[in-house]
Amino acid sequence: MTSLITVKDLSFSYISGVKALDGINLDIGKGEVIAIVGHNGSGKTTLVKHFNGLLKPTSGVVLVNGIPTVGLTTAHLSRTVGYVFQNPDDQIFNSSIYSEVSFGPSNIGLKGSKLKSRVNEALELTGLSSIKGKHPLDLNLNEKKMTTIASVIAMKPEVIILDEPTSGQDHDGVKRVELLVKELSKSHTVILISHDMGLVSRVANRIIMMWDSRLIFDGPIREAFTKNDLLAKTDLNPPVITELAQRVGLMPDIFTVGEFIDALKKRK
Amino acid sequence: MPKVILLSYVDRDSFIHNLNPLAKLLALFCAVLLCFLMPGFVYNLIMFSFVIPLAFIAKVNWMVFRTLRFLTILLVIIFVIQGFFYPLAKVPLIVLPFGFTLWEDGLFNAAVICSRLLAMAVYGFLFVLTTHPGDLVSALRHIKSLKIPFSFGYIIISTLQVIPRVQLQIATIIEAQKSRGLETKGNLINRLRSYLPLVGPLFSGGVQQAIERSMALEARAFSADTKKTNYRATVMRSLDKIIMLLLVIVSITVVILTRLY
Amino acid sequence: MGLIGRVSSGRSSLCSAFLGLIPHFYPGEFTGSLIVDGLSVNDSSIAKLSTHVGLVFQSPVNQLSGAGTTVEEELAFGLENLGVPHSEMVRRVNEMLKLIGLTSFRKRSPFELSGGQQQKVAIASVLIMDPKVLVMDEPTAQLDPLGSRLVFDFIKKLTKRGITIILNTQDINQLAEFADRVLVMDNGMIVRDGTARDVLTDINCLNSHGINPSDLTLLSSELKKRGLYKGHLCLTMRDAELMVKKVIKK
Repeated sequence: MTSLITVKDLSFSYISGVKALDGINLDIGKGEVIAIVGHNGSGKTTLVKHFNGLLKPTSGVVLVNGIPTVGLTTAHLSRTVGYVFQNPDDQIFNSSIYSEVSFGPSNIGLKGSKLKSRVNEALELTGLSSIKGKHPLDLNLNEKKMTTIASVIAMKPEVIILDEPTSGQDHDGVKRVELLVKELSKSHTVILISHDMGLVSRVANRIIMMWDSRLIFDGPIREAFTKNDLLAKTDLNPPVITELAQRVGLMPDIFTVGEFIDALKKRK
Repeated sequence: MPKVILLSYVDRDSFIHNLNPLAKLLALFCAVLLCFLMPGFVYNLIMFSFVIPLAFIAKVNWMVFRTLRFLTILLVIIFVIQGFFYPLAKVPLIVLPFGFTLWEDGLFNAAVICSRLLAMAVYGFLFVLTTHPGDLVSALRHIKSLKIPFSFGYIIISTLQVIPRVQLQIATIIEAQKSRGLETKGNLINRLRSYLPLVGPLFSGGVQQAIERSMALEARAFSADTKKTNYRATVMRSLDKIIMLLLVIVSITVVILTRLY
Repeated sequence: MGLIGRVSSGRSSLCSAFLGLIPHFYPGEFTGSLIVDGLSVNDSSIAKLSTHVGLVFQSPVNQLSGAGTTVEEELAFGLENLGVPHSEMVRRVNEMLKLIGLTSFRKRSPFELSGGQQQKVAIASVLIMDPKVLVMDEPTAQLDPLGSRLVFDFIKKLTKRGITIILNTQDINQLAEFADRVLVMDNGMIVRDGTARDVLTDINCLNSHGINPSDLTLLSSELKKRGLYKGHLCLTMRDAELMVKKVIKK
């Protein structure tokens, strides 16, 4: 398997001496949809920041497409690994959605008609085409989130990292993000940092659990959800129906009403 | 989390920390005044070096100086501008091609300005690191004759508290925009281009934050007419009064002496 | 009492009105009257209302006044503004610290706390002023699951103190656990007002106003449709557990 991102014995400590990552090893390949989960402070964000060079290893090595990240700037790596930060207000500075989305691709050298088509493509994918002239001050949270995601999609990186894409959103907003991730996974590798177990169960096929600067699980989703002791360490928010399933002794990987009823039928 | 050194009060038990905030404020005021009144740049550099023992007494050691990194580019700009374009220049130092001349008096003036900036900056940093904003406001309000309005005190404290938070936010904005391909290193053009993407989100986010904070303040009766009370209390010891008197005497003496020679 | 509705249904505006932010902070056209604990919102200043009504917002960090450099100072801020004498302030601060379980954090900067802890401080900072009504506008919306649980458990504790609580939330499951009464808002109007059980199990009403009923309620409705269950529609986790156990037995 050709690995897009390879992490070998990665350890990272801050200047203050605090060790945030301890001996991480993993490989990320094309087409995967990976959820990285863990408590705040477990090291998940620190790990992910190594993928696009925002942080460089204290020891160990991180390779993107075979090349170590050490000698590369984040701006350069952003062509391969896109990272959408959690808070859109930390990113948006233009006066229209269109110009905001074109920020990313224009930074990597796209101009003229090529830039235009990329931006429109990204707007189409995120459902923003009809409001591309709107001013960011008039947008709701979901629209702002979609704008920042579109701005990275337009750069067409091989890997897209989404940091808490559904936090603070209502039911419809979460649905829209879900559909977008499913669409993106057809042509990109997607890495999701999230606390939302329902979302993770519906879109990811692999899950990486971080705890206290270490990687405690790396494997398929269905398997992960049977390991209750590990899940308890990761601050994932189970949907109410999953909790119910647990309490009445059904299989723990139930996420919808339909699945619950099927599981009940099977019991009989 | 970040590589930034946060400029905010650091709790230590030191002689300087225990001084009444008004004494420290007076010291800062005298330091700034002296910077402007003393001729040349040598005295300013001497004042700058005095901060070293003071920083050790205050147990904040090198923190006072690490924040100076941000000033370096400003200092370089001043030297360049003054060195080449000083209007009263008379004595050339080096004559360069294309009609550019590096003036000696320009450089001298730059040295004066920069030494002034450096001295003021380190005394300012020392002040912030050793003075609890709540104590400062409480002490100011004790001077009943000055009739400091409550909102003034609030502005001081909240501003001092917001500095480290803004530092953190800028660090996040930089990371987010770099991840969208923004190149921040290298030539001057890159740095200018990155101004808006880095400052824009700070302002729009700042406005929203300010609105939410005002509502929260209203919910805590901020606009109430009643006479306010204070949870934190400060004391003015006779030691503080003596130090303040000494500060004034020494400052006046130094100014007179340096002016005479 | 719970307040639910779709986005932009007017819930936040109503919450702001309770403290008098509407009309004093957000000017506009105000018709009708709103009387809280005997005070007319139109005629009383926000400062006066704040001693009768506490208002807590979504963002934990933006509610920190910035005037307090320690948690205990942050709690005392409202009392300072009201001119409460020092000894009384100290007493109330100690009481609140104990209530939110952060006594050991009293000298820490509120900015160092986690989101959930900050939100508890925000609630306590308002509670310390001894209001009769506590209005909370989506207090867990910006918190991670750990923080949400922290605040949720705290709110549950508060319901036992006899204070009137109005909770605006998108999380039906939260309300299901302790609300007595629920208001549904849509388009700036109150469209339903009833007991929590009646309103939150009324699937049609909820759906027609853009609210998603709890999966527990939907599950019981499905099971009913298939004839596997004959009882009331479920609301709380306990209802659902009992229901499923019954169904399994059959």
